[in-house]
Amino acid sequence: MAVISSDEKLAPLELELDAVPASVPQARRALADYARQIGAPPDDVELAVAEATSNSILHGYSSREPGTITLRAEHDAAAMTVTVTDDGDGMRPHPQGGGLGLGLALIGQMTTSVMITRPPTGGTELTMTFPLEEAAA
Amino acid sequence: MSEAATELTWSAEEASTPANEAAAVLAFAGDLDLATVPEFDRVLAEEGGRLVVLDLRRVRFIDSSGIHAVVRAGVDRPDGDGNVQIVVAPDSAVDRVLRMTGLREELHPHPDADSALAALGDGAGGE
Repeated sequence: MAVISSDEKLAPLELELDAVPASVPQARRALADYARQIGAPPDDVELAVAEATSNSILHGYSSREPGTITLRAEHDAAAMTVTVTDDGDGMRPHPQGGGLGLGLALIGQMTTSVMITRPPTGGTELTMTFPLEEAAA
Repeated sequence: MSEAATELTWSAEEASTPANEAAAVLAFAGDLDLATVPEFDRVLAEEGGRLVVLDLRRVRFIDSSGIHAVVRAGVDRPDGDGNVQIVVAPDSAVDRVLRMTGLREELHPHPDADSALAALGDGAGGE
């Protein structure tokens, strides 16, 4: 059950983290806590955020030093929106990158919408939407 | 029991299969993600090619990085050599991600360590 009532609004959450593996648990826990407060599915948010930040770390900086990942979470009466932005190389195939290629597929299963864009300054921006449980009921 | 330097802890016990082969039961607890996969890999590497049961029943969180690490561990597949078996609690976070990725049918998780030990070495999976 959400901590806040359906007509209240929690201030947006913004995090700026180094694009390194240690940032993944920090990001997913913070966003899961935010989700819990507003009535979004915390387990789905936690997993999707882990996948998104891991994607940035693994694939965004293969040709350079790790940069910065910015996460933003906000909501309205019906949905929580999470945006994960990195300043890396952008989306490109990594045939030697290993992995099972499951991250985006998992994100797709846990969100009501996913959008991937390339900001004018470069990098990648991934925006995910999750339903609020009271709105979805 | 290892120290909780990261959010992943583990313990190791020696066990035997029904065929009296020595095996290691590695029980992990906590979170298995990009931050803790190196520790998971290191623990597995120390076992070399031994028969191993990976007990994941106390893993609270796992993502695709963690699943990939489990797959890399050589979890038994129908055409594998059967030297690693996994234990997963039904309806757990690990079970959920295995179902979502479609890997549950490939990885054949067991509900307990005894059935996992029984499957070691003979190429037989769990559920």
